[in-house]
Amino acid sequence: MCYVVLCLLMLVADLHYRYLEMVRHTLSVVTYPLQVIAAAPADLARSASTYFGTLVSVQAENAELRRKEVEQAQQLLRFAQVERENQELRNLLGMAQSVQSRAVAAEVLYDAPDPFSRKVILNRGAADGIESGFAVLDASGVIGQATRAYPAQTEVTLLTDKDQAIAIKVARNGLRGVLFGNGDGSLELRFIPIGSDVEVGDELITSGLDGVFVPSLPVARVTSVTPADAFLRIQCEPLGHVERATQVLVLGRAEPAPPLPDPASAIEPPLEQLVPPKPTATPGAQDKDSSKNKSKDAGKTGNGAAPAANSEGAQAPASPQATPDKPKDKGKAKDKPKGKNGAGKKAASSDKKPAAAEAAEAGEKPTEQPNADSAGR
Amino acid sequence: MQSTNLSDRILRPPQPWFIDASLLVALILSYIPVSRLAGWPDWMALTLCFWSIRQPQLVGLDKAFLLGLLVDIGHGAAMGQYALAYVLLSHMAHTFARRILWFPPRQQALHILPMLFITQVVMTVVRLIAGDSFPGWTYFLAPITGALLWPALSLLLLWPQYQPEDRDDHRPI
Repeated sequence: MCYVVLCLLMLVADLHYRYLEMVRHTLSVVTYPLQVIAAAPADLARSASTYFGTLVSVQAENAELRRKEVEQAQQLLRFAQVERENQELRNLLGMAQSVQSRAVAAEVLYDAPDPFSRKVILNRGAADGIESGFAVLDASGVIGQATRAYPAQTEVTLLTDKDQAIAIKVARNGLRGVLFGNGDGSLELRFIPIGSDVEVGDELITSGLDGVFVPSLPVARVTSVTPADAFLRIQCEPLGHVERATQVLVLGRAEPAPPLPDPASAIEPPLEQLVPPKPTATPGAQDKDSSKNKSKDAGKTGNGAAPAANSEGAQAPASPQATPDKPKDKGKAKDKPKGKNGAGKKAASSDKKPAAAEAAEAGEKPTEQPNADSAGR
Repeated sequence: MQSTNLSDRILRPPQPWFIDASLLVALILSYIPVSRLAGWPDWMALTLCFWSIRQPQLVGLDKAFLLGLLVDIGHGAAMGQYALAYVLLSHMAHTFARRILWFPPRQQALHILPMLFITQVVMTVVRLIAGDSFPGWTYFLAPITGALLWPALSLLLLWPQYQPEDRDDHRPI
């Protein structure tokens, strides 16, 4: 009986609060050698099949690779030049430097045996510089995110895992959103209001607003857009070979994203900017009003996000008050005054939301919900 | 060793090291990456169930819990998912041990089937509550293959106990 209770407590601690990562890492030292033994036959089979792969197919692959190399060599040359130019221009304008990344090449060892999620195991780990949160991509696009970095292995949650989220923007017009896995191999761009400028065939790239991913990595392509209730139902297909990739690149930020501003130090925008001044408003009512209007306003800007996002384009908004993309944030905005009154640490951390919401969700599955997320990062 | 109606021979007492070794082998088998092969049996559950029925005093809930945790970590599952399932399985096995041992191996398999099935249902419920996706109905093929393997597994794991105390090459046993 006590074991059952213990198990249930552990389940809650792990699934909801992620408290048990230390235990997991410690015990993984015990299980790792056993896993290596268990994977040995699969390794052998794989190396044998590579060894006995026919000469013809290898030659064909070689020719293809050479062709690609020539193609990409000149792109690379131009890329170096363009990047230098970009850096100089950014310097001239006094803008922040673009995100520097660091990359580790790795190989997919096998699918994680857990049938309830879509995860793969890589043959590189924390010892090679991989940290949890890094993006994992193959030659054509992002396929997932490193969610647990063990010393010698990394567990990658694929984009198609149910409710795995990634902060993206539409490459064509910079419209931001969050892309979720459906759990059945497809992806869905959720909470994009009806009337937003999204078309079939649009390419989605990482926005980098989550503070975790490197910006501008190709992610998915829109396959269908249908209106439903208040939002568009946007189905997408991943660009990377999510379920079939073998050689991957693990890409992370070289330095952590700048810290989120403390919400307590935020300056309240003057009331007049938000609402036309009402002559007969008591102070208490005003206070209430302001929060309500703020949330409304946030919703409004969210709805009309297309033009605003257009003009912003690739530029990341720094302040947490910048247009939130998701209706969830409306709720957060409403919560704001309450959290400040409470002044508890937890309230403050969950208050960081608007900009953090995306970060947290891309970092971890949203099922683990609000209070756990930002604490972990 | 518990009494059975059919055994016409007295088995040797089990070696604790053999039990531990078989559990270790089962753990390694459960780590084999089979890419969600439908019907791949849960070796750990089978072996644990076997020893929980045969030797409840040697394989208790504590072992079930610990091995469950190790499987959790190796599978990248939620901590406590397999532990919970195995603790329940072990408990069921202890409860029904005397009844199950009364039957020959094939009919034992019929008792094992629902027990394995319940462990899988428990794990599915836990993960669905946690918000993960449903793995598909083929997931529930594993208890069936497990039950089919039961007679062979019983024979294999009892093999050391079938050996005569002192081997006499001139005696036809």
